[in-house]
Amino acid sequence: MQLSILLLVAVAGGALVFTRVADRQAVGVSFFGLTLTLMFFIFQAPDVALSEIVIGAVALPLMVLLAIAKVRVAEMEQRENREKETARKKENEDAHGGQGAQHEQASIQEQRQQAEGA
Amino acid sequence: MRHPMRLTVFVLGSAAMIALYVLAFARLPGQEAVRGQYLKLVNLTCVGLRHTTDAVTAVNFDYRGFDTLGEEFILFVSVMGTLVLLRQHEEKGGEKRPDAAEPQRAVEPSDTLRVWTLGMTGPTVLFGIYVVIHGQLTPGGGFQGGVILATAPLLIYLAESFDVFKRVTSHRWIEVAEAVGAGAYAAIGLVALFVGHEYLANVFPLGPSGSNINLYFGGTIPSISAATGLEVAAGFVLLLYAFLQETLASKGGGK
Repeated sequence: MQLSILLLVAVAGGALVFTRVADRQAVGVSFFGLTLTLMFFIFQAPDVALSEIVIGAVALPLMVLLAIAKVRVAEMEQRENREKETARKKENEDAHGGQGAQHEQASIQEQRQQAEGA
Repeated sequence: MRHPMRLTVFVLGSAAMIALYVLAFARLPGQEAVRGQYLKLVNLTCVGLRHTTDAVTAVNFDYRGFDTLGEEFILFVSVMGTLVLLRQHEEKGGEKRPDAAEPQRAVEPSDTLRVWTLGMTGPTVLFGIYVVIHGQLTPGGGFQGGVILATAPLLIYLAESFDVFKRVTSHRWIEVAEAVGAGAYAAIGLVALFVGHEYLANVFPLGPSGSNINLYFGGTIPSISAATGLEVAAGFVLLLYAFLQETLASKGGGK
């Protein structure tokens, strides 16, 4: 019994280490907390098991998930801002480029007029 | 070029680590040998001298009460720190977009989820209170029960919406409750000084000896456990509120 729960903890912990995606890690840490709870219970520490199940299996994954959500939102906002900025720059450039073209056309016309006049 | 080098260092290091680890474990005394005098003494004295049946809670809140005071203030300070960090941002964001749209969920909770979760809220609160006040009799106590209590508003958030969660949790008295919980622990310790004992000595009436141990026995242990429960529950609710507010409000404002 004790050996099998230790093995389960080892497998769950190992799998968690090799998980690279953050949301999956949050779910995995919850499962790992559950196996730790079982381990504490089997090793006759029910007080620690109670703490572990509320902190490790509920509170910690929740905080991790909320933090991930927060980071994603911040990233999204940053990307939106960047896109807006690049769009604005493009518009400015277009407007500027358009004026340049008009200038060119005007100068070409002037040149033509001058040539005709001459 | 650098990669194989790094791998060699890692393999050598971990091999040495494993060897030392196994060596250290081979020298460990057996399970029976670990049980020293302290454990025996606590087990022998906690029923007779403290009128409690849960030795772990007796150690936490009485024999080693001062250590737990430190632990509680670690939690208190970390909650405060998180709130200060998150609120600063909140105020700045609030000025920028005063008409931030109320956050909407992508998926509305189904009726099954709502009925089940709302039905679970009452029992969760009851179970949390039970774990807090039975700390000296059965496994549990202020820390564990406090976190269980704090999950009740979370169930409300899951079943309803952030608005309802806000209405339940955004009261000023939750902050007051956290401060009172943390302060009460220190204050109970001070009571002992006035009676002429050392700080955090168990000076409250332990209950009549010879009768069956019940809920009101244990002197300062139930009071400290209740104070801790209040502090932990309020602290976690504040933390959840700040995190949810921060995440959802900025999401609503971004769109």
